[in-house]
Amino acid sequence: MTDSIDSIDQERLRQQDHQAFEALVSQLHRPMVSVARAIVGDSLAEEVVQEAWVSAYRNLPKFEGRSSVKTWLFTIVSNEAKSRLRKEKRLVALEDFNPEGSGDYLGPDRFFRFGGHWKVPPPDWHMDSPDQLLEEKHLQKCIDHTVSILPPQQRAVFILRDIEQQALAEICNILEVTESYVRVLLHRARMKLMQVIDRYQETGEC
Amino acid sequence: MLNCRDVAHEASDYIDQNLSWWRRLMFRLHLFVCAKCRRFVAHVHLTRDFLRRRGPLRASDQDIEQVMQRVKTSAPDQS
Repeated sequence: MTDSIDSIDQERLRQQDHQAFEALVSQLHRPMVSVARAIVGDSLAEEVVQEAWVSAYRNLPKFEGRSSVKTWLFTIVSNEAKSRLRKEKRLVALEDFNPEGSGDYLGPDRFFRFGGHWKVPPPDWHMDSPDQLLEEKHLQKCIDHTVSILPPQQRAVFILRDIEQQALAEICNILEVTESYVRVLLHRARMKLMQVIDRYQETGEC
Repeated sequence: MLNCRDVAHEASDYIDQNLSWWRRLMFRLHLFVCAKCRRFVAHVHLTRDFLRRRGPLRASDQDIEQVMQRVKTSAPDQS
């Protein structure tokens, strides 16, 4: 759908070429905002990301390519956010650390209490390939909206793993959470998005 | 033996291959006998693949402009 980060010439980035840097901003600004939001919350995230970009730009000549550009940038924004959090001495709201909150789709009403069998089984989907789903413009809007209202940590994990395809270990480092917690957050995010697809398949609406 | 609730809650770990070999075996045994869970896991798989295929969302022109402006102001000697 978009040019990959790999297509941006790393040598030009090291030379702080504006065009190459802009391409990087275009592709990674939104995921970086998601990472920042997961750590410092909504109000400080934009500011933290701006600082992270400045820091990244200054340090581009020193970028040695030992990790990917993406991982390097996610680490910069994560460090910037953590440092800001220490300065502000704020605590991220407890709900951000609570993986619950997306459980409706697999809530207690979905299964029989004893035996754990489906009480409300998954419906048949008439669109059963990624290509078919990709053609549905209205569904894309619903998905974008749902991603935007996911709890911050869920959104960050979903974007880092399923969109940016970062390794689980990298995500743990970036967000300073355990791997099992990342897996829980990822599953919950997917369930929320799957619920949207479920409804869309059934009604054509979100 | 896993039940449907277990399978539903561990479906992402299954498709991402994060289950231990024993848990994976139990999972597959359940799928072998349960059409509803097979359908559910297929949906999780499709959801993941569809979302991955959509690719990243690009920043708006305004976001890019803001960052470039900030970089020019904060690192003027290098820009």
